Amino acid sequence: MGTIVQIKNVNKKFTIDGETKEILNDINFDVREGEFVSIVGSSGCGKSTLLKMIAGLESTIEGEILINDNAVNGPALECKMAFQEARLLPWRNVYKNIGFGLDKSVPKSERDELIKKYINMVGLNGFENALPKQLSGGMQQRVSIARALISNPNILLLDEPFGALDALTRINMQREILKIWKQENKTMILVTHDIEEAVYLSNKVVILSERPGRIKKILNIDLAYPKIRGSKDFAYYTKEIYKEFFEDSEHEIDYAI
Amino acid sequence: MLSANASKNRILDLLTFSFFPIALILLWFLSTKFGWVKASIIPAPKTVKESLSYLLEKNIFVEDALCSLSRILKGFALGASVGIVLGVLVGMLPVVDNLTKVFIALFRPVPIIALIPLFILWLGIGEESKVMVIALGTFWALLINTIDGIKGVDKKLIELGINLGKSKKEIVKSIVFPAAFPSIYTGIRIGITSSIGFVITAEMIAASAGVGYRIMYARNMAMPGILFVGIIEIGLFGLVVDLLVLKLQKYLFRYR
Ligand SMILES: Nc1ncnc2c1ncn2[C@@H]1O[C@H](COP(=O)(O)OP(=O)(O)O)[C@@H](O)[C@H]1O
Ligand SMILES: [Mg+2]
Repeated sequence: MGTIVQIKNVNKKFTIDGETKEILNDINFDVREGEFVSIVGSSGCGKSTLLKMIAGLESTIEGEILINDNAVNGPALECKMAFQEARLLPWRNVYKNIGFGLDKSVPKSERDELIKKYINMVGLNGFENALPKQLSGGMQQRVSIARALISNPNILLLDEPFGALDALTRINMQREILKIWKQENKTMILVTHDIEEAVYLSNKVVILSERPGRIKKILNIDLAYPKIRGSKDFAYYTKEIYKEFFEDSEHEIDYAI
Repeated sequence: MLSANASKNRILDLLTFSFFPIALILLWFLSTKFGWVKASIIPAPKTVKESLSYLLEKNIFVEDALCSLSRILKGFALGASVGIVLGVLVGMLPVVDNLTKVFIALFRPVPIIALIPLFILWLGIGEESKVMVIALGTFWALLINTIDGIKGVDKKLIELGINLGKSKKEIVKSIVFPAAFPSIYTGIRIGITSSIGFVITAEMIAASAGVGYRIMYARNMAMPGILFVGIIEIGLFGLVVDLLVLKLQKYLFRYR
């Protein structure tokens, strides 16, 4: 499998009120086609910004991002994003919000079937006509994920998509995402602050430092799917990641296997 | 228990709601009946009723109402469409925003009432001057609220549209307009309500028909009965319009 995304010497600064802040510093990593990559890091270290840069949604960047060897220069249509906030259109019901993910070139006859398929996949049957304000935060996020998935993108960018979900729904959604990933051979890049989630889902975890975000470590997770959460190997990887976060702290790691 | 409480509340609501109008009407009856006020200042209900029958009989009532209403509709349609179109352009195109900034800052503070003599000078005493007054009032309400609405659209939703590969046209149609609509509707509401005031004022200054003209005429003829019919008519019309506009607002924005 070839490389689908290349991130080369990327820096990102934001200027607020004349003051320039460095957000990301010297980011370098590749994503192979069909790979599941997680990005972990404390909040504010630039994870969302990094995903938006991959999707071509940030105007000024230093360095280079390539998708299929083409420099990202404006919106990258291969990438669909489930944003950190659900970003639903409040005046549209669930059915129409998910349908908004489809291109207008998709014929009417196929639309209905597709929308129903994805409503089913994210477990929102019976809520087709519900408005966003009538949904819980977790349900809203599921609508947002379905909307990103429905156009069948090559690369799926997931920005803390399970953050607002309860533990059970979260585990279910993680399974669903893995199923889609395997079945449709997609490339997935996930931002999360949940270390277990990163180990459970991904082939590779990119660990970012605090502001400005730098790559601390890239960890390959050599575990066969489906991964067993309680296993010794699984715990080894979670511990490796925890270590990165607490290496500066005087405290010993409370996390024991 | 719960439903008994609910119906009790409803009765209480109705009582408090209707207390003021009932008290006012009662006071009106009593004060004129016992001569607490002069009939030339506040006419008796009977006088007002006679004036109303007179106006209805001569078909003046309906004609005046239709005349004022048609001015409102014409002026509103003109002012609203120009206001919305310009507001959209200002809201979306920085060039137009810059071009119009001084114009808006300079002319918006001028009270429209102060321009009525100018409109009469330019457009004569006929329909046009009255329609223009209403159009201008509506124009400002819609221009300002449309600009606010369009500039206030959540940038994150536009970013979403871009990520989903939507064209500019689709983003405007499916995100910008629906998101700006509540603000535009507020402009429509303000425009309609103020139109009523403007049409009456314009008709009082120069007209030969319409509710405002009738009120001025009644004053000159010292016929307080007719004057009161006019005032009550305006009040009721305003009330009905406001109720309808609010009902429609509730329905249109039930997603909020
Ligand atoms: N459009 C923007 N303008 C200015 N600063 C921004 C913008 N977007 C993000 N930032 C800043 O960049 C930093 C990283 O943000 P973000 O990528 O959202 O972090 P994370 O997703 O890791 O929590 C934050 O300090 C945030 O305030
Ligand atoms: Mg974030």
